[in-house]
Amino acid sequence: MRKIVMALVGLLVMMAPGASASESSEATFLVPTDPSRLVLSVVVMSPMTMHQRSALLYSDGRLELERTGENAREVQLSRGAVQSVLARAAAHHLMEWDGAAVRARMLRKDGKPRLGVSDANHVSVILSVDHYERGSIKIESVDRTISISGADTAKSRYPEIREFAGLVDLIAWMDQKLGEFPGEPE
Amino acid sequence: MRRLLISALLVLQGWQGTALAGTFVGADTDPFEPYVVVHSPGYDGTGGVLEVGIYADRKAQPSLERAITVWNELQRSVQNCTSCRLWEQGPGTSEEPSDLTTVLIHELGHCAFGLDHTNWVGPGATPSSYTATRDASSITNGADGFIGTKDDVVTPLPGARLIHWFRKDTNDPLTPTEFTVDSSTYSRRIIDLPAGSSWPANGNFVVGLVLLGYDGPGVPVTQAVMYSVIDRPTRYFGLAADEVNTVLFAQSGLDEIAGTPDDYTVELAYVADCADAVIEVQFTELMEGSIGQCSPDLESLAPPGELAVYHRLVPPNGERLLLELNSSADWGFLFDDGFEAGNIGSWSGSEP
Repeated sequence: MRKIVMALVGLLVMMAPGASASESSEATFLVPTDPSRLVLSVVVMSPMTMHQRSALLYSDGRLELERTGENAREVQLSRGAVQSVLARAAAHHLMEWDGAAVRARMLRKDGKPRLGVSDANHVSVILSVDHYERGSIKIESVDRTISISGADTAKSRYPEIREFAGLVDLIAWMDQKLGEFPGEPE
Repeated sequence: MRRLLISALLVLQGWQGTALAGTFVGADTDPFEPYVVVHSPGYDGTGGVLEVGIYADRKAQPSLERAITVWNELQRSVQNCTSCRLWEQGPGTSEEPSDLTTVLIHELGHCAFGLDHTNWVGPGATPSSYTATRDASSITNGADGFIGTKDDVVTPLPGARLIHWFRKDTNDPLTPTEFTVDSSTYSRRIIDLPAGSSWPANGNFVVGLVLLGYDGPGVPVTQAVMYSVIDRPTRYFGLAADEVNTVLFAQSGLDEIAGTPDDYTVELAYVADCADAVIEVQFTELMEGSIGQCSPDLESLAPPGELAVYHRLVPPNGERLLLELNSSADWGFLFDDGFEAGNIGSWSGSEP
């Protein structure tokens, strides 16, 4: 029997820096029950130093952590922890990510195209959940891939674009887990 | 000799990737066009000497001054790099501190001259050692089996856009011969590639070994400083021909003809007062894995309504171009006031 877990993002909005309760309180999503389903992937790579770190989270709470120079490890998170981190992403509207729309908002603010940051880290995020809903927005199966360079600079340049803050928040979540579950040196 | 070279390079064969060459920032970025030419900050189409002041705190000053000297000399050198690594090799295991001068040489290429990386970033934002190319879906080694050389195979064609500039006569980014660099000798058009070339070669050190020969283990190699990867022990001692050629091309001015009134040269100079600086070098907390970054903007030099080919670097905030160094990176400093770099001012009156 399919067990559906409903996460109410509004209850967790305080965990999502930059999110306002009024805009995110309606967001809901279903965590897939297939235990092998990858629900969140965060990979940060420096094209300059080749340093890479990643966190792959599955719907059953299995978390694979990896960082350059350390052995990969696997830890187990609670179902509540899975909901919590996905709620942080939802509160920043990352499950609605539309790269073209984000670029249009940047262009509207700047009035002209701007260059990215040379040598900035690159972050790739994958989000995958079942039904997602916020206000009039309903998505049956969320499968988002977000790939940008210089997320931290983007967050400070465009504080009004909450998706950038959300990406930085997910990186901070990954870094916290990497610190919480340190790996052995390779 | 040939056998030595081949054995040294065998491990580098077979990777998927692209080659890198002299490129300008923006060439690989929508909505800028692939044919952009980027000029140093302050250039307005008037020829002469352009002075670019750079400020850094005391900790970075000695390294900055060394990096400034390298760029002001603008010499094509060989064997300019030790412990160079290609992206495909992955990070080394050395725990040596990163070299501030090396990182500053690379970052000044972005911040002061508008140069971009010479290598291709492929699908999934994965860097490679193939030549910087726009809109390519794949690049593979050509018949010579080496990455980034002139016979690499780029897909799709038509479709992939050439953004790496090259010598029309040789398509050789690393041999340090003197020549007049302007539109008569330097190009990014595919029809200008010399016979035997399918794509521009880039300045990664494998291309250097192929073009300049292999002088044995431990001998420095030749690599463009604008290659994107800087491993912890990597040290650059000078520029390669590639970046010198590309800077000289820009300095042939808006008419792209050397020897005309709009030609210019750039004189970088350390300035003690940040208010006088065009570029500010700043230690700041960057994300883990970063060592340095530069965040310029581009301003078109074209009159309104005309195609925006020529740009100059401008600061995003209207004040100074920011060159950031990661304060959390291991730079080998024990103290934070430049003491180890020779600045003993703060100790002059202290005991014992």
